[in-house]
Amino acid sequence: MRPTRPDGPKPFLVPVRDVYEEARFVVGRALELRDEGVPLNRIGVLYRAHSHSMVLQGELARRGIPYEVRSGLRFFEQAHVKDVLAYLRVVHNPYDEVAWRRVLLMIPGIGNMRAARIWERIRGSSDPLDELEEAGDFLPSYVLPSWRRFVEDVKALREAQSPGESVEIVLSSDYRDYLRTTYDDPESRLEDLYQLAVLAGQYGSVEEFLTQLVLLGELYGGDLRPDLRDPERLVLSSVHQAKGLEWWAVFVLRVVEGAFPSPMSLREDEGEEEERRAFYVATTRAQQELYLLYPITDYTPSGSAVLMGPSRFIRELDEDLYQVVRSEEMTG
Amino acid sequence: MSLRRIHIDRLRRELNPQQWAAVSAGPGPKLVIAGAGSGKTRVVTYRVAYLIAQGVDPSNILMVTFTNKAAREMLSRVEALVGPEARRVWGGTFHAVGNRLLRGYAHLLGYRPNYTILDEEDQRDFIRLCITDEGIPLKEVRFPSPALVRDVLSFSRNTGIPVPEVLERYHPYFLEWAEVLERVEGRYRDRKLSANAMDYDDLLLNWLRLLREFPEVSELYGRKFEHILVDEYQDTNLLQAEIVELLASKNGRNIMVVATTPRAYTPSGGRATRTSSASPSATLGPRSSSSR
Repeated sequence: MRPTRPDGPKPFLVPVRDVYEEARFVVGRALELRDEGVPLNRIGVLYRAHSHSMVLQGELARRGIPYEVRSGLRFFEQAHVKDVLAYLRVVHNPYDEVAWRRVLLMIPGIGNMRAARIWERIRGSSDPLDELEEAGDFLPSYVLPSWRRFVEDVKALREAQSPGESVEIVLSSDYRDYLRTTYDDPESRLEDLYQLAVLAGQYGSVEEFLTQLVLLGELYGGDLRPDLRDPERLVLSSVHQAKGLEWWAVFVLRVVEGAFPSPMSLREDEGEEEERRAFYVATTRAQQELYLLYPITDYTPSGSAVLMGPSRFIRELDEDLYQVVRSEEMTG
Repeated sequence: MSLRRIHIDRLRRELNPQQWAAVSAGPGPKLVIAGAGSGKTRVVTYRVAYLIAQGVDPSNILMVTFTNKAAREMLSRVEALVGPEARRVWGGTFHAVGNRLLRGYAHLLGYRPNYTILDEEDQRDFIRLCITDEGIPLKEVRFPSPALVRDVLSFSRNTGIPVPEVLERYHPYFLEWAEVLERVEGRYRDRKLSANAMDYDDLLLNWLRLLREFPEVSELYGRKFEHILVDEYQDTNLLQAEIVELLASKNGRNIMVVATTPRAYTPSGGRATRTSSASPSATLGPRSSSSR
């Protein structure tokens, strides 16, 4: 079989400063394309792992651009994300009953009865967070150590200076163990949550972060008005779920070592070949324009920058096969 | 020639005569009815630009749209027309504007300013607790699911139709639970208040309460928003329309609402007819020379 479509431009390799610029580039270029007459639903964004879409989802939400996710639940609706947000919520608004229930039930040894009792003890207080330590004094001794650690975590959260730091505190708490013992595929969920910390780093305060996630995440009021759901939505998909689909323009995120090929599958026999096939899928979904994004730095949850190298799948390509563009050349 | 003059001349050049008439209309209520594709968004955008070019302080303009995306797109177009001060316009959805106001006045309504906004899952969780408090064994009896209860309560609050009537009309097979649901409604309200939490509907209802129950607040904001513009007015529900009416009653009715086609009361979407004192002063024909 041969391709039947006339040649479009050569694929673009786009080195960007970091994952934020990656997201801004995709959004900026997608909006330009839309302006040129390509509707958003004919533009696809592909990535190797769901967590790679997180910062982009944050940027789309912030700018109110409708999108749909084909690689699972929308990020902010996933249980582990809501878990972490519940910690931020109880500290931001210590009367948030539903968030308290969620948080308390994650502590080992605390079930519905004990959670209800703790809530009863703190709810009437002028500052529930101050009452926390005493509120747990009825707990049996085998529960007390984890209770005390929880109280310490809450103390640390109260002193956190930024939403990014808050997420990081939750991630280094006992919540890690809860996540590992409760959910399937905990490592990729943990990866999601590191990305949540990166995303949170963009917001000035916990209140702003929480408000934006719930108000701007969707056309809100969209629940009241399903007819308003915009059919023109940018498509976000994992590479694997994109098999057999095509878009006018395709962006592939994180074409860097450590992300694509996936380090996990490299550990398996034939893993690299499997990944190379996935790369082939990713690069053959575009009808006209293909953008391979290559962020030069990534951030750890604590905010330090890590240098990244381009994917081996790019390095093994003949340089005549693509053109390198700087992101500022395309979007101002 | 002054910069303002230049801006205004440019606006006039880029519009057809009908559009220009709407954009440059004097004070008072205006209803712009336009067919799809006739450039009504353009009218709102240019109207905002025109007002700023006329010297109206951008922060005294309230522009309500149906999606955040629409607000952002429109404001960036205004910015392209008259410059960066356009960013100071109060623009956004009803919920976003409501939230912005309520953060400052939550204490008047018994809330703290750091209230939580509940998403749909949170709302269902709260409602499940309220149902349990009513002593309903959810697994044993055929009781409406928390998700359905949420929808019924929300519909009732947005339309002003009491819960039993909503059940009778749309879910008659659950009518036997009408009394329980009314109690659940009360519990849900109390529970949210003591949790310092608002759902989406509260962002509208509490905004309306703020304007109704605190005349000094409605005076303040009625006067602040010298000009109010509402896009997609045909889709506003009763609550939203009342908010707009209240604000407009305090600013000398400087309000422009733009609607696609007048639509009658449709019960399915939580909308209701409303009375509007805005009178038609400009009508755009379908597919005029504007570009989309």
